[in-house]
Parts: sequence; C-alpha cells; structure tokens
Amino acid sequence: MNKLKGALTSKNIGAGYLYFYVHFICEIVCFYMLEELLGDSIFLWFCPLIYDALAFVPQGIIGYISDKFPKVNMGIIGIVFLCLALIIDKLIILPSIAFLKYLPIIIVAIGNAFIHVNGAEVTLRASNGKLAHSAIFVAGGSFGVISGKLLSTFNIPYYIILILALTAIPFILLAEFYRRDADKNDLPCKNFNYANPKLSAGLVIALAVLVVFVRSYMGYALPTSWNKTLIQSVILYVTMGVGKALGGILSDAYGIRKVATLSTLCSLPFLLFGDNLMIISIIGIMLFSMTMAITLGIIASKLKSTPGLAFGFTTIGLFLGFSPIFFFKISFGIVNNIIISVLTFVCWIILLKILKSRGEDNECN
Amino acid sequence: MNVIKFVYPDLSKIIIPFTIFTVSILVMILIVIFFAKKELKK
Repeated sequence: MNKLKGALTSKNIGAGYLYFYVHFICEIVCFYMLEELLGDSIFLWFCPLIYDALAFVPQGIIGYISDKFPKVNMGIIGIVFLCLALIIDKLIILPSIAFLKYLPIIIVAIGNAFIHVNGAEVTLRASNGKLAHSAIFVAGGSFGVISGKLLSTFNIPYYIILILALTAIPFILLAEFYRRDADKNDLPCKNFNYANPKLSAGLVIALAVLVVFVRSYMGYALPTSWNKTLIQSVILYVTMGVGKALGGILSDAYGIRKVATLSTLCSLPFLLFGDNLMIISIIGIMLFSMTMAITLGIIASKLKSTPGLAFGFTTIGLFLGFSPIFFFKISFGIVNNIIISVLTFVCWIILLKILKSRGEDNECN
Repeated sequence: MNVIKFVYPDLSKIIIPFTIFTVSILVMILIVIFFAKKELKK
C-alpha cells in the first residue's frame, strides 16, 4: 500500500494530473464534434477515418518538432485549433465544396494531435523515468471520450464546449513549468531504462508498436454484447481510463515487467468469457488497458532524447490497430476468440522479450 | 455464415480523396521512421 501511495505522490506527479484534465477536455471537444456529424453514408464513414488518421499519425512528426523546438508550446496551439474547429463548425456557413465539409474535423484532429504531443512531452520529461505521470495523462482521454459523447447526446450548446476548451489553457501553462524545470537536465528521460538492452532499438520499437497495434485492435474487436445502455457505455470507458492509469501506477509500485506480463496474461480469460457478463468483461478490459503506459515507457527507453517522437510511435500503432474496423468486422464468435487468444499470447511473449529481465528491473522506484 | 463482414461504402465515389489520404498516411509513417533512424544513429 505504501508503494502505491508513493507512486501516486511521486515527484512532479502534478504534471500528470494537470494533463489528465487537458486531455479530458481535448477529447470532450473532439467527440462532441464527431457525435454531431451529419451527412450521407460515405461522409459518415470517411470523416471519422480522417479524424483518427490526422489525430494519431502526425503525432510523431509534431512530437519530433516539439523535441527540437521546446520553446514552442504545442498545447496552446492545440487549444487554438480546437476552438477554431468549433467556431468554423457552428458559426461559419461554409460554401458547399466537398473538401470544406471535412475542414472542421481536420482542424480538430490536428488540434488533438498537438495537445497529445505536449502532454507526452511534459509528463515523460518531468517524470524522472516513472510511468504514473504519463499513465494518468493518457487515462484522461477515456473519460473525455464518453463525456463528449454524452454532452452531444444531451444537446449541450457549442459555446459551453468552447468555454470548456478555454479552461484547459491555465492547466497547460502550469504544466509547462514542470517541463521547463525538467529540461534543466541535459537528458530528462535518461531514467527510462525499461527495454531489454540486448535487443536492437529498432526491433524493440517495432515490437512495442506491435503490442500497441494489438491492444488497439482488440479494443474494438472485443465482443461486448452486454454494452447496451448509456450507463454501461460510461462504465466501459471509465474502466478503460482506470486501467490505463493503473498500468503506470502499479508499474512504478511493483515493477514494470511483473505488471505488464501479469496483466496481459490474466486479461485473456476475462476477455474471452465476458461477452455477456459486464463485470467479467470490464476486468479483462481494465487489465489489458494497463499496457498503454508500459509500451510508451519501453519506446521512450530507446528514444530518450526525443520523447515526443517516442509517443508518436505509440499513436501510429493505435491508428493501425483500429483502422481495420473501418473496413471489416469479424462476425463469427469462435474465430474472434481464437484471434483474441493468439494476439494476447503474442503480446505476452513480446513483452517478456522486450522488457528488461527481472534482475535488471528499472530501479528508479 | 460469413466470418468476415465488410463494412466500407462504395469507395469508387471517393477514389481520389481516398488515394490521397492513404498515400499521406504512408508518407507520414515513413517520415516518423526516418526521424527515428536519424535519432538512433546519434
């Protein structure tokens, strides 16, 4: 218990909590706008695909720019983009040119990417090699996704969302102090030493991205027939958020290797048999979500001088993982269960290989 | 019973934007890999 308390109150953990809120607000704006989309079937199919691609894939490029130009506050740029997208979407009547229909979603997606990059930069740099900071930051997104959907369902006016977006600015500015403080060190991420030193950096990054890909794919391919009501959707997203945060917190407290391998392996039976049983299913989802911050920590261990770029690799894996759902769905239970089992087992083996062995666990706890 | 159910719409109507979109994604991924290679060489 003391270890858990230590992880939750470690140095600079405030950066994680500040960016939890910023991330929460960012996803509220994005999913509020996505839920409000109107149009024909092609538009309603292509628009979320464009959003996902532009929110996730450019983060590596933006992250690299942020690594090289630390004085540029990507978070503030992101908020400007979010507000601009809301204003264009709700206030400006765009000419009926096909491309312009997509403009608000393109802008909000790029804004989302900027905010994510800054959150990763701040939390990774300020964490002194710990995972709780970035895990808490990442967790805010799940709460934001469901809140954004709910606000749209309840027809909350856009200006309330605009005001909410603006409330993130002081949080971003406060969090920047943590980054400035951490950047006084030559290499703020030097304490990220989670990856197996015997494997080449390229291989570790590729395998970690594969784990992210699988987790992302499973997040959408998992059978959740129990999820029928609004409150059940809320429970699902809250569980994902709690799982993501717990992954980092427990890793700091009890060791990354133990948490990564146990959570991946233990999630399997819960995922397979939770199709109709909510409690079983959400335990599996929570356990499987725990690898989120762990994979980020592994990649950051190999790209210590460019944490923004490291974060970009995880988001590329996320996009590639859920992009198949735009094209096909596996509708046969047994086949789906076999795929889930094989993929989980593959992830477990990969994590065992790419994480430092027990005797070499990151001892920055 | 079909195991795989295809869910995408008629892409022929958006073939040009969809091609531009796909190529852009691939280019962005390649740029990120290029940056990483550059960093790892240091």
